[in-house]
Amino acid sequence: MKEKNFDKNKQQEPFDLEKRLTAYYGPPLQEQPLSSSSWQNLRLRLDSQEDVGRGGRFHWPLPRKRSRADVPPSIQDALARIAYEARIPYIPSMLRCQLALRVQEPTVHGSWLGKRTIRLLLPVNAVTTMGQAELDVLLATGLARSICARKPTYILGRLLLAGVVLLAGIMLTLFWTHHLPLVGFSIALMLCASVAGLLHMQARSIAFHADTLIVLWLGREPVCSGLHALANRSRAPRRRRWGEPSLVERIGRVCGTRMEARENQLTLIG
Amino acid sequence: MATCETELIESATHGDQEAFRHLWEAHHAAAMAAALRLCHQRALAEEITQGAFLLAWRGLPRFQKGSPFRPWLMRILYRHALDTMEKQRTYLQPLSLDVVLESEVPLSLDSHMEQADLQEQVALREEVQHALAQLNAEQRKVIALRYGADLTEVDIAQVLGWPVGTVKSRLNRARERLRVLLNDGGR
Repeated sequence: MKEKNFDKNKQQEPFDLEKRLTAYYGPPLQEQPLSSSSWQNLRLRLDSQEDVGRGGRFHWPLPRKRSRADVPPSIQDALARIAYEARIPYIPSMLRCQLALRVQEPTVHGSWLGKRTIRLLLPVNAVTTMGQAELDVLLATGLARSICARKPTYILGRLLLAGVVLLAGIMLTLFWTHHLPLVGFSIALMLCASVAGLLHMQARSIAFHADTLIVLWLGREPVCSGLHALANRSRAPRRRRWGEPSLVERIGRVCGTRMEARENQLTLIG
Repeated sequence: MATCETELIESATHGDQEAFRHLWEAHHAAAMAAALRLCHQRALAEEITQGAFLLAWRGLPRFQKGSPFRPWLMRILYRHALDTMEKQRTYLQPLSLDVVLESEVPLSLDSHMEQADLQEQVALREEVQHALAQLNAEQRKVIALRYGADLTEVDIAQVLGWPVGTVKSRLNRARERLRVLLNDGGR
């Protein structure tokens, strides 16, 4: 049955479905070893937890998070060491690490509310290419920001701002019922814009506060090395995001050097 | 060997990629051969093989301790191959001489087939492929596993998670349909 049939007179023979199908698929093939790069590709996918077809089951289109067990041991060790320096109990579940193919530069977020978690987003190749100083600064940044954001003054500020947003909602409703929707909308918009601006300022303040903590934990020189390495990796080290100082700003504050210094390679990297 | 494999599986279950690499080295060539026989395209077969190992890596915590690794892996591979082929509609892609040569390199070298023989082979395959494209997905799956993986009806039932009776009836219906389609095509 597994014999190949390549007879020239096949079409003259009586029709045999079994033979046709067996010929279509062919005999069992000899083992087909793949190159070592194939394993490397697979290994990359094991790390990145890239998605593959899963039998038609429905999955919410949310980014997949790495579980605690998936976080590379080197990253877990680094966080444990930083937590020890910061006199904070190290809980492995506090770190969520995600490797993404489309991400160009590593980013970190520390939670502001609820359970203290650090979300680390890394490019796929970062695990192998990232230096210890960069990793330490990233992890310490996430940890320090989540600590700073929980300070009573910042929490009070956020509560007040939430109250302002509520007030804006109430005013909008009131003006709407009094047939003055445009006035109500303008006031609500102004209030919300002010809240967004104040939140932005608060987030920057938290970020700078956190940098001070990082220097206390890791020492100024390693932090500078890490920040410079991150700036070198970044495509736009001067770019500011909402609530986030640029890397150049952070370097200026922490290391006392400016962008010109970096461009002239006058960094503090040893 | 079995004990060694059990240890490797145990380590890989706990996230040891080095242990999983040993499992890959021991089984990937057989998996690749099985995938290539099913889909006839080397690049797709490699993608299927990698995907199957990725699924196996994720499924290791559910692996039944003490049972052999390869049959489990092959069940994953077959399921994944069939899903991938359906998703990519490989049955609708035209066969070329290159594909036949690519999928059966040893055969073409050993038997010294001439160009005309190969072309005839491609034509016959195209005819079967065209008929397979007219079956429904379930029928295509049972045919692929029966003739492309040489599985018994019981094994097919295990791979696809269907009752054996369902496999038998779908296989019979698929054969009947193919007989009609290929007979009509041959005339």
